[in-house]
Order: sequence, then C-alpha cells, then structure tokens
Amino acid sequence: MSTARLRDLRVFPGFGLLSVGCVVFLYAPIVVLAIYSFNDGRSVTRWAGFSFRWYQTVFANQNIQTAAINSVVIAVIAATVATVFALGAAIATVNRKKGGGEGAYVVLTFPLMVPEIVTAVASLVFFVAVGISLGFATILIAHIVFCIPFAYLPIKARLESMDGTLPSAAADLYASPAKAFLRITLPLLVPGLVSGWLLAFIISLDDFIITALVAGPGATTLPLHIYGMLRLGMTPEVNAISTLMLAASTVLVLISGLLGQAGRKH
Amino acid sequence: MFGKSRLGGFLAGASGLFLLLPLVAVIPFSFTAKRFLSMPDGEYSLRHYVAIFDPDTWLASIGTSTLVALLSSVIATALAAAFGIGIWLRRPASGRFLIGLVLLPIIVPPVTSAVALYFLLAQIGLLDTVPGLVLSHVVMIVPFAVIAILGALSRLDRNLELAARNLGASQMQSIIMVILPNIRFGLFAAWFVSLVMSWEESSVTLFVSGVNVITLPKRIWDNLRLDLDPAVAAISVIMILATTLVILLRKSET
Amino acid sequence: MQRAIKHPDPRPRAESNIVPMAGSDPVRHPNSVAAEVRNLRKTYNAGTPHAHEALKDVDLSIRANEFFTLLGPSGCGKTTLLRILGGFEMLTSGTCRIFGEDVSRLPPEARPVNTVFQQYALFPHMTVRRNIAFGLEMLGKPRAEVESTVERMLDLVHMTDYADRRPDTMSGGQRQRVALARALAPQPKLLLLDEPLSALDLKLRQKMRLELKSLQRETGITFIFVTHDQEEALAMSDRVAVISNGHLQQVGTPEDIYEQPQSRFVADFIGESNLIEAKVAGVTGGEASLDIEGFGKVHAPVAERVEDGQKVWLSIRPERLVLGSGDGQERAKVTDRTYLGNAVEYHLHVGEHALTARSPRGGLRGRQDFAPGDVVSVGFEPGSIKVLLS
Repeated sequence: MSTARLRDLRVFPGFGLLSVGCVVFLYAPIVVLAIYSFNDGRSVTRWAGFSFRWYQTVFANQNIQTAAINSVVIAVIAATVATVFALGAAIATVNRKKGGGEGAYVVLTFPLMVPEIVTAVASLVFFVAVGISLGFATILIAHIVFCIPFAYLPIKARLESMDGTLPSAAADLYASPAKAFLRITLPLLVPGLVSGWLLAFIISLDDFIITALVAGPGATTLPLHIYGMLRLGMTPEVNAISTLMLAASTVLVLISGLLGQAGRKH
Repeated sequence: MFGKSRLGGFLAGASGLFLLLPLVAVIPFSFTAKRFLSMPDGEYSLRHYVAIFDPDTWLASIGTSTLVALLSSVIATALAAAFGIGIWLRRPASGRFLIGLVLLPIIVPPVTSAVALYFLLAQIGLLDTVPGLVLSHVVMIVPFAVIAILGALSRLDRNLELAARNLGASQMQSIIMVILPNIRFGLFAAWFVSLVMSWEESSVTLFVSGVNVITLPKRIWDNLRLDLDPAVAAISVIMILATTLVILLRKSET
Repeated sequence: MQRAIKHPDPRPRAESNIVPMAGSDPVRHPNSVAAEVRNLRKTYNAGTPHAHEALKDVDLSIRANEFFTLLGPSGCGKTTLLRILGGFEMLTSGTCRIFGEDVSRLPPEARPVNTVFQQYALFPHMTVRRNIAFGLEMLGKPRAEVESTVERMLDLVHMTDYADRRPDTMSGGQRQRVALARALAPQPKLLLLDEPLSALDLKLRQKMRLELKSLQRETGITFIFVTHDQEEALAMSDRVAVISNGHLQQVGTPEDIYEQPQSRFVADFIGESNLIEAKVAGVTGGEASLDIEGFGKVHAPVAERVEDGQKVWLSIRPERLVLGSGDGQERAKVTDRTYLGNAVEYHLHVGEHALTARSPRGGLRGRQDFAPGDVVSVGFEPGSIKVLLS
C-alpha cells in the first residue's frame, strides 16, 4: 500500500471541516445575538461600539423586572412541588417489577412525547372546562404538572443506581420504614433531587408555549414579555434580555452537571 | 425494596392523573356539535374532524409541517452523521470538547433561540419562508440527532473500518459500504427524532414564521388566540393518538 | 402488621449489659434452639404462570451458639431461607421461630436478628463509626452506651484506625469487617451472613474464615452462614445443612456430611465422589452384597431396608480407591493421569464405568505410579463405600 493511501486514513479534510462547520452553524445565531446585545447603537445590524447600555435598560425596566420575578417565583414553586410529586412517584414505581413500574413510567413520561402545543391546548381546554379563570394560578398549575416528568427522570435514575439492599440493611438495624427513608434513602437521593429540581426549574423558567396559552390577560413571565417586545420590533434590549436568559440557563446546567459529577464520585 | 410507601403511591397516582387528565379531557370537546370550543351537550358530531380536511387551512398546514419536518430531519441527520463520523474517524484530541460543544445548545432557552434565529433570518432575508424555517429547525434539532448517531457509533467496532481499508477500500468507500450500513439503526433513530421534533416545534416557529408559512402548531396557536375553533381539539386528539401509537410501536419493537 | 420494635436482647437478663468482645465470656444458651422453621414453604409469584417454589416444606432447627451453614448451589433456596429468617421475605406457609418466639409475621426491624449482606450494604454517606452506631441509635440506646459499644466493636474487628473513613475509601476486607461490626453492635440473638466472603479474593477469604470462626466463638452469638462454597462450609461450621432445589438434603456436622452422605446430591456436591450404579444381590446382617456391572461384587453396610435386585448407587471418594498391579485382579484401565501438585489423579475405565482415583503425591516415596494405558486392579478402603438409595 502506498504511503499516500496510508496517510489519508488519518487526514481526511472533508469530515473534519464538516464537524467544525456543524459547530459553527449551531452557534452562529446565538453568538451574533450575544454580540449585538453589547452594541452601543439602537440598530441590531450596524455595530456602533461596545456598551452595556442595553443591559442597563433591561435592569431599569419595571415590566421586565415584574416578569422576571413572576418567572422565578413560578419556577421555584413549580420545581419544588413537582420534585415532591416526582420523588413520591419514583419511590412508588422503581423496582416494582411487574405491572406497576413499566406502566407508571409510560404514564409519567407520556407528556414528554406529546407535542408541547397539544399539551398547551389540552391544559387550556381543561382549565376552561373546570372553570378556573386564567391567570397566575393556571400558569402555576400547568408548570407544576409539566415539570413532574422532568423532575421524575433524574430521581428515578438515581434511585435505580442506588444499592437496593440499603433500605433492607436499615430495617435489619431496627429502623422503621419512615426512619429508613429519612436517614438512608433520602440523603442518598439528594443529587437526584437537586438535578431533578434544577431541570424542572429551567424548564419552567424557559417555557413559552404552554405559559402563553394558559396565562390569560395580565399575568406575564419573562419569555412572554420577550415575545411581546419582539412583536414591537427588534431592539438590542431584546438581545440583552435573551442573552441574560441564556446565561442563567447555562449557569444552572453547569451547577447541575457539577453536582451530578460529585454524586457519581460518591 | 424501597418499601411500599402509601404516600409515594398517592403521589405517583396524583402525578399520573394530573399529567393525563388534560389530555383525556380534550377528547369530548372535539366531538361538540357547536361551532365554538365547548363540551358537547347531548349532541355529538364529527364535523370538526371533517374540518381538518379543509385544504386551505388545516390540510395546508399539515402539508407545510410535513414538508418542513421532512427537509429539516434529512438535513439534520446528514449533518449529525457527518459530524459523528468525522469525530469517530479522526478521533481528534478535541473530540470530547467538540461533542460537548455540539450538545450544549440543548440548554439554550427556546426564547433565546427564537430571538437569535429571528435576528439571523431577518438579516439574510429568510423570515417567514420555508428555507428559513427549515434552517431554524435544523439548528434546533441537530444536537438531538448527534446524540442518536454518537450512540450508534460508540457500539461500532473500530476494526471494521480498518478491515475495509485493509481490503483496499478508500475512505469514502469504507464510509458508504461499511460504516453507514452498520449505523443504519442509529441513522434511522436520528432521523425519526428529528422528524418528530421538527413536526412539533412551536416556540421558535412562532417567532420566525406565521404569515406566509403556517405550520400545524402555528395554526393551532392562532386558532386558540383568535377564534377557539373546536378543530383544535380534534387535531389535538389525533396528535395524542399518533403519539400513543408511536409509543406502542416502539414498545412492541423492544 | 406489627411494627413494634422488640428489644433484641441476646443474653439472659443478668448479663444483658455485657457487650461481646474479645476475651469476654461467650454467651451460652445451653440446649436451647436459636432458630426453628417448620413446614416452611416459599412460593414466588404464587398463582401466576411464573410461580416458583423456592422452598418446599423445610424443617430445620438451629441450636444456640452454633456456627450453622446453609450450603447449596446458587438458586437452591438457601438465600431465601436466610431472607425469611431476617424478615426480608414473607414465608408462604409454615412457621419461623427465633428463640421460641414466632416471628413469621414480623418485619425485619422487629426481629432480634442482624445481617451481614453479600455486598455489605454499608451506608455510603456515613462514616464507619456512624454505620456501626446506626442500629444502636435506632434502638434508642443512650449516647454514652452507643459510643462505648462502637469503640468496642471497632476494636473487635481491628478497624479503630478507620473509624472516621467512609466505606467507599476502603478495601473489600475492611468493608467486610465494618459490616460485621455493624451487625454485631446491637447484640443480635442471631447473626445472618449472606455469602459475605464471596466478594473477597482467595487469600483474604481464607483469612476471614478464621476470623469469622473465632469471632463466633468469642461472642457466642449464633451464626447462620450462607454459602455455595463447600470448602468454606466444611472449614467453618459446627453443622451444615445441604439444600438443593428447595429441599433440605441433609443436616449434620462437616464430618457427617462428607463421610456419610445420604444422597447422590450430597455425595457429589460435597467434595468429589465416584457414583456407581449397582444392584443389591443379597443382604445379611446389615451388610449388602452389591453387584457392579462389568466389575463384580462388593460389600457395604446398609442402614435402610433394601431388597434383592433393587437398584442403588455407590459413592466412593477418589482418595479411597486403592490401585495396584500384579495381584491378578486387574480390571481397570488408566485413561489419563493428571499431576495436581500435592496429589496425582488417575482417570480409569472399569467396564462401562468411569472412575477417578486420587493418590497423595502418587508415584513418589515408593508409591506406585501408573501411566495411561496401564491395566490396574481397583480396591476400596474398608468402609469407603456408601450405599445411596436416592
């Protein structure tokens, strides 16, 4: 075999370029968005120097503040309640070999498979049918419900990777079921609970479609507010707030990843 | 082994109920005989299912959604396969970093993606066009296609490629005749995931299209915002059934 | 279901404050029965097509202060029996008593029993000290007592230096010791050990055997040990129960089990055995004349009634076959010779039967050695033939 043929096994420019191109393609829109959030001018297409002015505008904007607080409050409550439900569901379904376990898994993850717009329609129709008036409460209920599957998956994974004889060992050492749960199972589930909660929190914080449909007049969240701003026209202020949301998501995912790693080491 | 917790059982049941109740509740609404979204009072009708076949509205949107989903899923799969095979063949020192970089956009908030793509498409004049929408969807779904393809490649024996090369195949021949056929299930999975994700994509779609190009989720959205057409309930029921069918099919495969 | 926690006090009242430790007097319960199961049945998935009978009508008495081993191949039901004693499985029918008390319906936390789990099940988020203290704390013992008991347990298993380490930073042998200390700390009436040595390497396993045995003697606690390793069972136990396919095959001292197997299963499972089919050709005064096809007649004592013409099996240990040449009785052919270091093994053909003979350091120090192809005579040491009816 010639040296030329041997060499092309390692050096094949086409695919390397495609790989890098793929990355560039994914990041181009976000990077451009972030860059223009620091634009000193009003235009979103013409660079006029570096500035934080649009971030200042965002932080000074009362409506954005209200929307952001709403978003965080909803996300904290929804993630917390959903995590409690998910914890109970995971405990009840993991390792119940025949019957329950499989079915419960399908039921609890089904909404992840249904198109979001359909879940949104169903939630809206449900609220209207039951007669709950649309507003903050309906957003909260919808968020709690759609966060459950996201909180459930990490908790379930953690529970499944846990040594199943530990609760037996606790019972063997005279711990009542409640004590065994509090002293053994719950502390060991903490990494799963934290990643479940963080995932639910991010999902709730970022959600737009379902929130928009069940929000009703008055109640607003940050994604809803951004959508409204965009309707009025593209300004670097929108870039700034979108970049901030991205930063928040990234930080939360990083925390969740680091905690997950610490949990695995344990 | 984690005990039969009655509270856990209750929470599991309640979770399941909360999650499924709205999806079930929408079913009767789709059979109303009235012209607005309501519970049928004694009178049932299939008229809203028939309305889905209106070629100017629902059927047109189903067509648009299908077209966009087919194009986006094929492009996303091709890109993901090229990326995956490139990493797999060259094993660059930065491979793990590149993979991380490609998967990272999964965490971008949908609204941020929407704004970013709106901005980009506006610049290049593709707002509210099929190519623009396809481009947006591809950006959104490539990371998920990459996950499926990397999974298939990680189970592929490296010696297969070496054997092919040893037997005289060129790089391209070995990719086409050895690697691709061996990751065909991964390719299919990547394509299917992409198809479904593009088909149901709504958060970005709402921003970057909507007047000339109206996908099914966008039409549902408009209808709910404007006139509460019960056809929305009918189409939702059909999509819920389709999802159930897909889950059942996948269950029966495994 | 009863959830009340019973105080697991393994000792007579007068001694109840004494914690077992090296050098102290072992606890004795002369002539009492530590654990007893009667007509025990366990069926998994009863009433479904997947029903599986793990234990079929088991009767067993385990004496106080003994080192008792449940021995059998994997899936024989020995672990199920242990789990029923520990309360981790509910029995399907029958009774289970611990020191006279019916515990059949009690959950694990209400039984005066502790367990050393196969993979130890140490709590990974707690230090060695917290692990050992756990049972005592759950019993509501005063803090001072918990602390002093933990110190003594650490000392007993030589783990004092590791008291503040977490289990995941320790070796298998160290975890093993912590698991033992944790299970012994609450002074259980029974200690259950579920194949605790199987996760250790060979050298460590042999060392832990001796440690376990001496720990049992020092503490006087009744040990119920589950293993599939017959060597382990013979080496450590006061008595052994051989279990196969959910049935109790034989209970006895290691000597009984090895020397006097009562079934083909036991003869084959414990050590090695030549099992030869034979026909009864007459019984006189407790001794039977047995006809082996292609070999001839041998004589062996029979305990049970046998009839002329009845088919039986003969079990002979390989080391109790005597090979020789030059006496005119040569009827076996050597097909293979295997050097084992401390012994030589010969594979023989006698008519239709394949036999194995083992000779300590065969061929050396004046013992006769044979090569494949040699024709030899086969004799049996006196009392070496066991007649088995099943």
